[in-house]
Amino acid sequence: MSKNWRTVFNPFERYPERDLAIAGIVTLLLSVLLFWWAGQTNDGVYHVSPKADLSLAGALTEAIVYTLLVCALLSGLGKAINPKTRIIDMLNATLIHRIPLTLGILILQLPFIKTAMDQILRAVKTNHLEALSGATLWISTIISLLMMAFFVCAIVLLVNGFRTAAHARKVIHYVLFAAALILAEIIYRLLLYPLLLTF
Amino acid sequence: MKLPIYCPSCEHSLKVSQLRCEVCSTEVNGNYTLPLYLKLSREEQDFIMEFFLASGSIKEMSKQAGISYPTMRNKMDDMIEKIKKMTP
Repeated sequence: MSKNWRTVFNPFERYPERDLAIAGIVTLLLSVLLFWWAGQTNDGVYHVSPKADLSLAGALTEAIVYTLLVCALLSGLGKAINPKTRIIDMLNATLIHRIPLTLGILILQLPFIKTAMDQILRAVKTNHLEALSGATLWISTIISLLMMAFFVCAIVLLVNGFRTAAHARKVIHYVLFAAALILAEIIYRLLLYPLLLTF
Repeated sequence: MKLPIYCPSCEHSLKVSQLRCEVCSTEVNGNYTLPLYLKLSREEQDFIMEFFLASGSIKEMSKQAGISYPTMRNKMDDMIEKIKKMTP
């Protein structure tokens, strides 16, 4: 892999923590604005649902809560693997890895994609899937693959950030990393998100 | 010229058997073990020298090398582990 591509997938190897933190916070704020504008809620760390009445404060709280949750779990694991692991490096990895996911949500707001998605939702609700045009199905297939690619990119970024921050080298470290992400998803979905809805 | 530290034939560590004064040509023969620093590769020796010249600051070294602090610290940890294994 060329040096440029390596930097794209592992900026944590090269850029100082201050630059990464600035990029990460800007991304977080842009994603908050995007979710608020698009009426999308993060009902899971890696799951999005429509919610038309989402407030700006609500979108901001969600973003802060899932970021801190993932950061706390990965920092705890990082410290257990290598006591020299710094929280700032793990926070940067958590913030930066959301960039592809935010891009994905932005793409979903393109009018022709939104129209195709609305048509699919309508067809599912009315049980008239045969009414969908070939173009709509093609768009939905391509968008699904694109979203999958963005998700893979996000996870690759998080793995690389975690590896650089904690100096993880053994297979067990990556197994525990996956377990921490699953745990974050469970805690957020079952405990924190329902709690956020009550405010 | 690069100091050979491994035998080109059997790849075992080499020892110093002769030292010579450049001024009076006095020669000393013996069986001296190479110091630990000289058993490291050239890049590793340079790394240690850079660390010393940066007053032991990993942050300063990472700035000079154009890489992040954790990457430099990881490199340092790998070398510490290697040196610990080399010392009895």
